[in-house]
Amino acid sequence: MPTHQRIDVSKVGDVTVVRFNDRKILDEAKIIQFGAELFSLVELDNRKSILLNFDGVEFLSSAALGKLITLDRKVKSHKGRLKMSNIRREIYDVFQVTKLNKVFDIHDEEAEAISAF
Amino acid sequence: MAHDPSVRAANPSPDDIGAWRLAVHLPSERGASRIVTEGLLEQLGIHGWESSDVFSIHLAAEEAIVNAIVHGNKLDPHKQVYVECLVSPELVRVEITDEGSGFDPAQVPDCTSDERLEVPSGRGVMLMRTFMTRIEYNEKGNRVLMEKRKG
Repeated sequence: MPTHQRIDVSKVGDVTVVRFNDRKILDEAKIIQFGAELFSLVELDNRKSILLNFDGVEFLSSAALGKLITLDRKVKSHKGRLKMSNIRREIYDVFQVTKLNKVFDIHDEEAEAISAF
Repeated sequence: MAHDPSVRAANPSPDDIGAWRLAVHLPSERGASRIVTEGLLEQLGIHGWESSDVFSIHLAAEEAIVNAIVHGNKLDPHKQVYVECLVSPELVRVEITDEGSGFDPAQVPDCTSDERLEVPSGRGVMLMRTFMTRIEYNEKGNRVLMEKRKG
């Protein structure tokens, strides 16, 4: 099991649950690491059902959004499923104005998202 | 006249009263935005801005400074980004100038179009426009002025 610095990975049944160690995902060096760690879940660990739980995340920049879009594409090309939950209002507003709420499968709470897999 | 303090006191702009100002040159390095945003966030709290507005202003400032460093100055260590900020209880103004050749914001493609919806980059300018009250570029396209008004 690889060691992650930016993310915390656990399992609930068959679902890989990812939480984030940073309240603010904006430092560019950290975003590169953030992306690499997320992509490794798909490309190295071959995980098919991934839930990103954003509880505690207060801020993310467009560069971090870019990593989420790339992750979503990688998951889809590996025939997996990606869901998101616990997104605070301001960040959801960003998803809404960029119409990414139509791309991502977003749920209010972790339990609800897990049961939707 | 403008330098006469009595005149200034008699005709103060509401935005000048108790305003915090910052003028700083940033190196064209990744992460340099923090030099501005740390002070800016602190002052937004001191001046009573709500957390949703703080989020908006932080996002717009971060996106604009990163654009200036990465796309404007292209991370050239010989170039700098000049940032001026004003924070008052009713108005926040952030002006960012880079030493690049500028760009035409009207030519930035719509990131919400179907064909661009899943492109990982190109959302910064749109977010700045959405989350601030006013945003203007100079003709050359190397300076952006953004304002947020309360309410």
